[in-house]
Amino acid sequence: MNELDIKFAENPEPRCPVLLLLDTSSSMRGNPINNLNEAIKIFIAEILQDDQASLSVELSIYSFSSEVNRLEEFGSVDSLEFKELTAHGNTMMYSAIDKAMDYIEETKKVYKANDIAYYRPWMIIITDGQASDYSKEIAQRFKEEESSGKFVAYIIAVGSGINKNQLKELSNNPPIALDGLNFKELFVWLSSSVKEVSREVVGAAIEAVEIPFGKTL
Amino acid sequence: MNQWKIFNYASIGSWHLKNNMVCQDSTKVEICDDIYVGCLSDGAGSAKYSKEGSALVTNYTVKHLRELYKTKLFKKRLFLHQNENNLDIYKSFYDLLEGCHFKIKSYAFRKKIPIEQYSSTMIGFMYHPNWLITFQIGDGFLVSKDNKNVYKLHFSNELIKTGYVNETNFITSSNRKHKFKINILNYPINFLCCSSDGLEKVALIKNDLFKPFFSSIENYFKQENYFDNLSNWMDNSQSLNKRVRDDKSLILISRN
Repeated sequence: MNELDIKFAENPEPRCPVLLLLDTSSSMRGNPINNLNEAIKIFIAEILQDDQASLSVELSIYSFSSEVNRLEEFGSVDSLEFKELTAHGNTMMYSAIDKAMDYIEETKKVYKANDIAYYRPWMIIITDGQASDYSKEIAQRFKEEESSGKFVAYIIAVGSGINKNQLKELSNNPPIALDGLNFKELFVWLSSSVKEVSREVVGAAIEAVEIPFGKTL
Repeated sequence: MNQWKIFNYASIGSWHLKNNMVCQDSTKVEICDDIYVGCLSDGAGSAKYSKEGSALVTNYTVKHLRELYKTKLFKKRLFLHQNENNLDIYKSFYDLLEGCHFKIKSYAFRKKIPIEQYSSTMIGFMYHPNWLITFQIGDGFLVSKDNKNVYKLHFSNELIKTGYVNETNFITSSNRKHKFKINILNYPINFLCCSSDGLEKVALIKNDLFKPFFSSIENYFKQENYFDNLSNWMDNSQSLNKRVRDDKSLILISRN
């Protein structure tokens, strides 16, 4: 057909912020951290293959062990140079969660200041052990902020050393125990889900989309 | 009303086609004596029966507006003066909101389905030669143009949305009264554009209207074969559908 000459506004693509909070404590050494590294690479590749998602998805990566590190700031996946994770030290998970919540709010302010629309941020927490810095206040803050819709959170537990009660206290959505070290399945699901979100047609998605594998704790 | 012209069309989005879903938008426009009454409703993508919901909204709203126009509130009211106390008009539109909500609630109850599965937005108008009343809950936009050729966006995007780009408020929401907005213009307008959020991405910029979009749409609307041109554009334009995957509904009314 002959296209009509109707003028379009040029708006920046809405952003879909995804924040990975990853346990890199010593218990993750060996197969767990290797599998996790491979799965993250698959996630990045999946996003890059999708034109819409690669414009929308912004990925941030935090690691937590004896310290919390922001390895990647929120940014486009195509400019990300992923450095493989290594495992050592303790499990400062609550400090990581606290910092991550602050960072999400800070990022929203930047989006608003630049008139960039955005979807509800996703926070994916992956851990294989008991946190060494438990904080009731941080757990409460996390639960409240998740309930009020500041982000959607998924807690993924790996292995047999997890503290189920700690994790259940944290989130409104039941944490998921991953089958073995099947990070690949998790990240393929994650890439598929954020691709759907980036198509802007998801309705009032207040509740988290259910993870279709693993067992709830 | 011979000098008026109308375009009313809904086009299914590529995302809905891909997922074997029907178009979840509904529109309805009718002439009532010397005015146009109309409503557009967008069903929530995540709600299973939102197409039924949006149809309930448009049917109820247009029927209610027709009946409202025949009451003392509007009878022989050729003008709505700025300095008049229009509280009675505002109240009548909150009655419309609650009546529509009750209609959906009753329907859902009879079907034994949670009301949330009928979640839909509502955006509508009463368009008189001398005044315009518009109302909205949820996303989508309403733009009018006056006789001085000034376009106006009736409800800022910031007021409508929850904060996230793909989430909005619905007539089924518990906070609907707080989020429902009404606007009264007491001067003539010669062009009205009412759209679901499908076209927001190309029609709005920085929470305001993008004037070139509306002036170019209006130019095509003025042409003789406007219906075929505009409906074909909504269905088949590559440049449009590359940017917009959602359903698109558009109501245009003008005075020649």
